[in-house]
Amino acid sequence: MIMHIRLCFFGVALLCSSVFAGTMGARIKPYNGLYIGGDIGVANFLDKESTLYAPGTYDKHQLSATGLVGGGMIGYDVSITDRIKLGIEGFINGTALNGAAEQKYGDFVSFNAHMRYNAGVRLLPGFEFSPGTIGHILLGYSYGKFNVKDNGDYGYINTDISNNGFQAGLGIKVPCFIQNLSLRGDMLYTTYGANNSLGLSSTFTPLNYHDNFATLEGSLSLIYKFL
Amino acid sequence: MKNVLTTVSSLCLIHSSLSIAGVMGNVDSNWIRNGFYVAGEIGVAGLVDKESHSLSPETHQLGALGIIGGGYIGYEYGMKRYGMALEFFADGTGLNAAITHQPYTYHHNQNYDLGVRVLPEYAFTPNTTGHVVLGYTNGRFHIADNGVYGYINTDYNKSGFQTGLGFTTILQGNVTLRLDAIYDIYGSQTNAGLGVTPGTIQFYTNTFSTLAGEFSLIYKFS
Repeated sequence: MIMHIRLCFFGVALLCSSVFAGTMGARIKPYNGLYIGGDIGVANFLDKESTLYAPGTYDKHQLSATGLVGGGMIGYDVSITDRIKLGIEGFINGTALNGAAEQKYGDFVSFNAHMRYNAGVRLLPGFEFSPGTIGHILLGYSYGKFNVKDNGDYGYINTDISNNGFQAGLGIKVPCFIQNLSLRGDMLYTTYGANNSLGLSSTFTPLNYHDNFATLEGSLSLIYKFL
Repeated sequence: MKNVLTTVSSLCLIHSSLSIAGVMGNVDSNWIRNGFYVAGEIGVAGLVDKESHSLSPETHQLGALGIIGGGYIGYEYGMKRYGMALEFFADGTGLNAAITHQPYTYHHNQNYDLGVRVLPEYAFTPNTTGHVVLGYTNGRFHIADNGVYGYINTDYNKSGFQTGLGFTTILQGNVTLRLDAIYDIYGSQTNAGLGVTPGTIQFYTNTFSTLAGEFSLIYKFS
C-alpha cells in the first residue's frame, strides 16, 4: 500500500516537471516563414519644382505636404544565423499627399503636385537584440505615381508621372499580444529620379516643368507570420 | 533502502521542477527599470512651411528635408509592464526651404528646437518597450526675402505641440537603442516687411511643422 502511494507520488512529480519543462520553451521558436502585414503612417512629401522660361531663366519652389499613407506588405523571413535575420517583401501604399502653390487674386490659379501611390520590393537585413525584438534596415526599390497640374500659376500642364526610386530606412519589430503577431515601426526615406514635363507658358510658348520627388515616412505595421 | 531511494528521487524531481518554474520569470517583476538617463540622437526630418503673403496674395506649401541632431535627459519610472518617462530635449536642425524667382530668393529655415515631453510606455518584453511621445516644443525660425514678394530678414521663436511613437530596446547593460517618429506643429506667425513697390508693406505669414525620424543611444544610471 505504502509502496503504491510512493509510486503515485513519484509519478505526479514526474508529470509536474515534464509540464514545466515543456513550458520552459525547450523547443526553439521557428522564425522562417511567410508573412503579411498592414501599415498606416504619416509622410512628408517633397517636390523640388522648377519651371524653365528661357535658357538660364527659371523659377524654383520647394513644395511640400504632410499627409497619411496606408497599405500592406507580403514577405518572407529567414534566419541567417541565430541573431542575423533577412526579410524580403513586396509592398504597396496609397497616399494623400498634395503640395500646392495658389494665387489668391485674379483668376485664383494654382499649381498642385500630388502623389497617388507607391509600390515596390525591399530587403530587410536584421539583428535580433533579444528574443522576438529585431532591429532592421530597409533597402529597396519603389515605383511612384504622381500628378502635376498647373492651371495658370506658372503656366499650363496636367500630366501623370511615373518614376522609379530608391528607398532606405530603419525599423524595429517586437512581439505583439497574440502568437504569430508582431508590431513593427519603420522610418523610410524614398527619393525618386528627376522628371521633365512639357507644358505651356502664359503666352502659350513651350514651358518645361522639372520635378524631383522625395518622401519621408513613419509607419506602424501589424504583421502576421504563418508558422 | 528502496523506500529511501524512491522518496529521495521524488523530492529531487519536485525541487527541480519548482526551480525551473522559478527561472520561468516572475510575472509580477518590473520590466521597466527606474532611473535617470542621458542620450544623444541623430535623424532625418522634413520641414513644411505653409507660407502666405498679403500683397498680390499667394499661398505656398514649402518644405525641405535635412539632418537633425541633439540630445535629451530624462527620468523613467516603471510599474510592472507600464511606465512613464519625463525628458528635456534640444535639437539643432539643418532645414532650409526656398523659393527662387531669379535673381531673388525667399528662404525659410529652422535653426533649433527644444522642449519637454512625457513618454507613457508599455513593455512588450523584458528588454523592449513601446512608447507614445507627448510634449511641448519651442522652435527658432528664420525667414529672409530679398525681392521675391518683398523684403524681410527676421528671426523668431514659436511654441508648438509635439507627438509621436517610438520603441526602445536594450543593447547591452545600461545602454539602450531608441527609434522615434516625431511630429511637431507650431503656431502661425505673421511678420511685417517691405513690399516690392516702394512705400508698401508686405505681411508674411508662416506656419511651420516637422516630421522627424530619430535614432538615439541612451545611457541609464540604474
